[in-house]
Amino acid sequence: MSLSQTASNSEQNREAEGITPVLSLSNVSKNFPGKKVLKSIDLQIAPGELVALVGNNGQGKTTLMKLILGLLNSDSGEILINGESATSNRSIAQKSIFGYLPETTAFYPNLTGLETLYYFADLKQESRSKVLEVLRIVGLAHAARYRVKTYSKGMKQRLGLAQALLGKPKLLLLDEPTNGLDPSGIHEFYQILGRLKNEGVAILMSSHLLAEIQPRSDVLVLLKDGVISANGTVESLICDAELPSIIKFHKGAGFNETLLDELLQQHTIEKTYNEHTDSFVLTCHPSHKQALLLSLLSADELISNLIVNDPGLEELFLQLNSGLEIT
Amino acid sequence: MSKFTILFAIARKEFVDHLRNGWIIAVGLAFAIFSLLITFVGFGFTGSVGIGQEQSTLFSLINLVIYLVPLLGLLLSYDGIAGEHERGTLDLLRSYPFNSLLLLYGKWLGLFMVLASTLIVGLTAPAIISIVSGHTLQAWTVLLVTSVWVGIVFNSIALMFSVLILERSRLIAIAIGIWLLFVVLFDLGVIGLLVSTEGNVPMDLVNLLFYLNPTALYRLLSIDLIMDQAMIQQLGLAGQIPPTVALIAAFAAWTVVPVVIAGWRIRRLGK
Repeated sequence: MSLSQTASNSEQNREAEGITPVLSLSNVSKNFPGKKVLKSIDLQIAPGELVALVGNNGQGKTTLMKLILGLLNSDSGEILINGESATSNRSIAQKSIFGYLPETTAFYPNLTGLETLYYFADLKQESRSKVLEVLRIVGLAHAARYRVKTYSKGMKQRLGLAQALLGKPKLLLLDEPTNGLDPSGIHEFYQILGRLKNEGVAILMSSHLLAEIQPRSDVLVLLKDGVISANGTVESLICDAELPSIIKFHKGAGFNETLLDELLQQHTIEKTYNEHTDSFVLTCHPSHKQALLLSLLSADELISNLIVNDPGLEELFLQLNSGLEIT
Repeated sequence: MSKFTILFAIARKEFVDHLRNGWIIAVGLAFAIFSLLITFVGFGFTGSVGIGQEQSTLFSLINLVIYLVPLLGLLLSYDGIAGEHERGTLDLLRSYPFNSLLLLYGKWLGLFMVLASTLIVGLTAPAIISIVSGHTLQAWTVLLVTSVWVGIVFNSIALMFSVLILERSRLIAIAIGIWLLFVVLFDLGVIGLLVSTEGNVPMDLVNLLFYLNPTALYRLLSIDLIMDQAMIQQLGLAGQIPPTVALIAAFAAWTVVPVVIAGWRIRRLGK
């Protein structure tokens, strides 16, 4: 099954469940002078779903978000927000569902964090009493009365997230939101997203940090050269890509290379030996992994320190970006 | 009602931002020092205080305003929208659930408040000296209003370019260029025209040229509203000043048209 088939299947599942997507894009394209940035984009995001948008720089991730927000006009295709066609200048009702965190936002250095959020709360017609609540949620309550110019990059990022949370958004569009956050900040950030997902908030998030996306996203969308080259759950994409599994081990107490070669003969693998670490590396098709492991475990006197490296998002990303056709 | 909440929120933020960064106090005090010097020269060194001294002081202040206030208006507003763009907040604000025109109008209102506060700081001291010396408040009030207004005209022009260009480094050059054009080069051009034609220029054409320059309009309007007939006679402008209502209408057009153009553009950003 190809990756695009995976995508259409997941969309069919949503339709079958009768869930109206918060956002639906069909055949959306965008050109800039002399450059086609996005081509025939089809994408759906259901309530409570976290969709991760990945791709190298300049592949159209930010442009896609701006098209959704109505900051840019698409050249063709249709965008539906809560099932309704989005107008060129988004209606107030359509804009009300968004919470947006741009990639880089400097805010106003002379205002305090609290004043900044009061300002954005007023603009979103949100009660100012919510401001302290969102400051607490993003862990900035202690710095609420400091001027923004004294904030670190991570604190500004938290402030940005806080403004995005004002007004009870139904769709969060986060452009590389964990940039500048420290590891504990990233952990807290995903905890917040988890709670919002449980409340039914749909999230579209771009990021380069594949390791942090992999366990947290429901759907992964990979943009390459302006087209969606992969769309589906991380697990299904990795499975469909048939990326090789890697098994490493050291020599065991009863190591005998002839016995090892006899053992491995029955499997389709690639074996390499690393002199520096005095270890073997076996690369095999994922469908052969289980049988290979059973064989290795049956001869445990030959090997020690067995490590299995299953392919992850990073490997998938690299393979997809290398231009290989994955079917 | 909600539109006004948003409008005033944007205006208030603009005002607080400029109050915090010291613009109002610093520029207001600098203007106060210049205007006090002029007042001091007008009232102090010329001997006894009288109507003539007040009129010449006010005339000198009008000229000070012509040089300084357009520059203040331009420097205050050139990055009004471009600054939001470069800070990354323009796209954010455009994604918010309100019409982008409110952002422009709120900015304009906030910058108006900043400029008015700056000029109140700058003109209060000489006004107090004048009033304590026995003169009327009326002329000073009119001077303040027309001075704020000419500043607002340049706020509008700078905001228009701010939306059209969206690039601060180019906008600062444009702001200086606009100031040179209207404050320095325009007068030189008119003088050059009069000299080269030996004064054989129809008065209607000269008046038309004045309508094309808001600082010239400001000078005529302020002289018309503040100066007495003797002073107007002395300036050689008796019977030469266009009707007050025409001057006010032209001034209003200079205030509104740039904002309308900016509004047209801001609605089409990214379209």
